[in-house]
Amino acid sequence: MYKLIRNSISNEIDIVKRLSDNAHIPFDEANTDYQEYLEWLAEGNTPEEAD
Amino acid sequence: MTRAVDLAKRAVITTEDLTNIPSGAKNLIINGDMSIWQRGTSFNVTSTQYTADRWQTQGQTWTGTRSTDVPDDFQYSLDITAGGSSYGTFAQKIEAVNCKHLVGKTVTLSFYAKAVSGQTNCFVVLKVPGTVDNWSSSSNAVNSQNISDIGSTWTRHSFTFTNLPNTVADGLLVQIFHAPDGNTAQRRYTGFQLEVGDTATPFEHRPYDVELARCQRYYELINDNNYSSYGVMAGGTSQGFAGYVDYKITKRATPTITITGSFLIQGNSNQPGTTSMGTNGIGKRAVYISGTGTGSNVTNGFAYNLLDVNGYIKVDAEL
Repeated sequence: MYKLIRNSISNEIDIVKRLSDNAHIPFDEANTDYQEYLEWLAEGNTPEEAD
Repeated sequence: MTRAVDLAKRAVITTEDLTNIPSGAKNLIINGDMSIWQRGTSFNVTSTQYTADRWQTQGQTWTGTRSTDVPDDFQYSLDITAGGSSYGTFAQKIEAVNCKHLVGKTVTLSFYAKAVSGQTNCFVVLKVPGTVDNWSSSSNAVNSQNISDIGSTWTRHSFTFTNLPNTVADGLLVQIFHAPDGNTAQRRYTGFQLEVGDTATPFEHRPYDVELARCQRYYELINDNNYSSYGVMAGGTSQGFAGYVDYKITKRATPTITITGSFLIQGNSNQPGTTSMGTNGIGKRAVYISGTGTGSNVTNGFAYNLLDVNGYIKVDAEL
């Protein structure tokens, strides 16, 4: 499960938090955790909205 | 220098002489000598995870520890004990930028191994990813080789693979495992080397700091012991603070950041604890940390040192 994080400086959503270990995953397609997140999305899952 | 002087005294310099000059770069495997263990030195593996730096389990169940039982000239080995049905698989992924020159080439993998108990066979598989540096969706085997008995004493084994395909430019995985026979198997490995050519040359011992820095391109544990500074934070409004924490080494990709444990910030004659620490921007060289100080001790515009009580920050850009 994941939750989107809003950057308070840019006000853009560019990080997603993995709720199982509170890891902050950047939106970088070279990042392995982000690749897994994209696969999770492709399976039809939806992350929690950003605060 | 001694070797250079020795070579200078000879009338004839052979190809082997030149090949054996330590360059620090011939071995494509990082942490082949199992010297770097940033994540700990003992693991109960039940899924895919990293153990010794750069060495990843492949979804099998086994226990792994750092062992001091080693062949000559080494300090540590990886000790694996796999249950009766487990393949005890582990692997290293080599990133694409370090594989471009391997297309069409012959490479040789060598390592030292020792069977302590159980099965003695060993399989070596080379794989390429589905797309550049992306191993999450699919991978394809390039070639595999095996030996029936790695031996009960430390023995160096080598495997040569010819004519690597064009897809090796996307990255390469070196996978090691044994075929289980229902009994527990324990074995130890160290001295992994993958090099261009059809011959296993002597293992290239890189300095510890060089090997650590190479590992930290992929994973860095920022944990400088209790109450050491991670960086300067700026006090803000509503007890907030923020600032950059630098990594020692620029990362392969924008890394995943995990902040664990307790921290405090020290400045303006106060040292409040912290809550709600998180990231507010992640880069390949630094992460922008923000959080909230406890109590009423954070002053807007003042500088604070971020210190750990028992906390640490994991910076993960592994493949």
